[in-house]
Amino acid sequence: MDRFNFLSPEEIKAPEGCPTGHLELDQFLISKGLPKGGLSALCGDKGLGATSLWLQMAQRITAKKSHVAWIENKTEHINPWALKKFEIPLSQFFWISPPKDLRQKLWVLSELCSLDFFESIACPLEGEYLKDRQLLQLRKLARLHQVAVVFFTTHAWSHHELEVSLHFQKDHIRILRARHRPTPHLLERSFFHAHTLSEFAPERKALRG
Amino acid sequence: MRTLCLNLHQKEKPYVAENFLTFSPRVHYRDPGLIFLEVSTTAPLFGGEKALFHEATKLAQEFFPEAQGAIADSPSVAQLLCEERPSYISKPNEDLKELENIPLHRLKDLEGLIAWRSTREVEHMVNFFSTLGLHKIGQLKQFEIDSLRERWNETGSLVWKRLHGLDRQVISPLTPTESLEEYVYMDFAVSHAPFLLHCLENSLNQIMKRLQGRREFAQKVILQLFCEYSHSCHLIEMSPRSPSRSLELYMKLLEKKVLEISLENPIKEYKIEVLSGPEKIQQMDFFQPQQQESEKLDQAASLFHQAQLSTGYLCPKDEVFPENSWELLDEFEEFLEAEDVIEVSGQSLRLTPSYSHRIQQAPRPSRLLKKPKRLSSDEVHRLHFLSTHPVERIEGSWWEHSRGRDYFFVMTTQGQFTWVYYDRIEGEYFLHGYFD
Repeated sequence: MDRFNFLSPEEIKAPEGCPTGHLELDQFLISKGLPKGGLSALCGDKGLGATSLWLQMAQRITAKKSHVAWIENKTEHINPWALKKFEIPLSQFFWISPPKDLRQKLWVLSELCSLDFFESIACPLEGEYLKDRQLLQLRKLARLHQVAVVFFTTHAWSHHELEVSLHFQKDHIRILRARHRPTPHLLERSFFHAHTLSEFAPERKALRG
Repeated sequence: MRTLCLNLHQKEKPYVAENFLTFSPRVHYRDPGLIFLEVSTTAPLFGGEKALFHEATKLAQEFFPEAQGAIADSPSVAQLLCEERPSYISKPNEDLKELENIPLHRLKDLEGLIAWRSTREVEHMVNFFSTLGLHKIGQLKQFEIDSLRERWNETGSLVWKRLHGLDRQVISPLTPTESLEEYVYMDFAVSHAPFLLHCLENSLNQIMKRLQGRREFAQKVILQLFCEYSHSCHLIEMSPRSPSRSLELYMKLLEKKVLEISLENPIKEYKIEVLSGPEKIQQMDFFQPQQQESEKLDQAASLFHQAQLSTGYLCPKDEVFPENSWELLDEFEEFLEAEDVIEVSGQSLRLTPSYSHRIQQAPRPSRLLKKPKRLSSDEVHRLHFLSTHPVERIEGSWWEHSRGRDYFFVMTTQGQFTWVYYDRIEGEYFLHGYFD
């Protein structure tokens, strides 16, 4: 054993991550956020908070004067008014229209990664599945250029090429995959839109008389 | 006057001189492959004659590996030194001294902007003086102009003037007039895309260097690939989002296009034409990197634009209906929020309220459906409305086709938080977005 020069636990440097602002989640993940230089998946039905989690992360990234990119999907579009609510400077939020197919989407992703310009890229997958080699290729690019690539899917998706996979459910967030952490793991969901509703409380009261 | 002479060692088209306009506006091309630049005023900008010489020869050798150069006071001596002592920079005002020990056979290179009328005359002169036992150019200075003119007419007097530094040759400013195009006929037809791209890169690089000299950007690049058989031709047009002369960008655009075409019918010849526009001038900080980050983004945007993808920055818009309340901009523009305006004039106040201010503060879902989805009565029954009354009423102008909408916050059985409206005209519910 003397021949090996092991590092002490204090010397081990965790991979860098982009904090999401969800304290419990950030504490749980080894990278203290969604990993930079890796692929993550936010799974679950729309309206359960996946986009908000990424937008919270984007807000922290853009506050450091870095940039984020969003690849649109075909059925919905991200609302710039909501981005303003999240205090994301729109000058640091680059938008790309929906690619025509998965092949083009992967090409767009790889071009964006290789720009060395964005800290995080969000890409909704519309029921599409990526092959192992496609994921491997993307992961290599993300690692090389230190980009946090985040996929949005409606189905629960856990793959060995993904660094983190979160499944948003009605009452909690299930962590399907997280490097060097015991999974699956459940996190209590904060009712993220409570704040939104509270804004309308006076109006609601007025409406109800 | 200080002159840089570059010998490309191959006959070229005169427009090759445009490449060197970055070093001096006074550039002259003379066959066969000689370029003269007046550098006395521009050398300090490059950090001296040596630095300029280094840059200029580097550019020349990029396309002509055997290119050589030299700097002297006059174009004729610069050409001679270029042949006799390549990469030599003479001291100012010492041209005549430099000529002293140059071998006599180099007299044929003492031309400059104007070539000898007949090289045979000069060769005859060299042979004649050699038989007299003279082997250095400097030794010819002892002869009078009349004796040289008597034997070799005009050429004789020109030799005397050049030997005494009295043949003044002025390099005029070069005004590019040639069109920006390259035509290449290949010895062998090409059906291998990477090789074709390599050939195209060389040609495109030459045009980009000309653009740099002209201080212009390419707005559009038109490429015609002529096939070997059946006179067919592929036409490729590339216009980036903003004019550029980045070879890297155009090669990326080109690569994508070339890989799309079938090369079963190989390419025998091609023509590249560039439509140019004025250069974008930017005031840069001293420590600012040459390639700005925005340039990188511009390149990617051009690439996506070619693939029929829109890119840019989202900008909110003051519109009543949420689906119309944003637009996509190529360049970011700050959104000016509406605010109440209060004007004070003497003792009177004038208040101009901004009615849209409240709408801007209203909660909006992060994901809006591009087309609201009509909900069936069964689906509506399964939804949990968070308020009995609408939280927001949006209505168009009565003179337009009003689509009065009453919006509700609604939870689905799966816990999805959605934005649903009741269309008061159609009397039906529509799903319009997700607070995702």
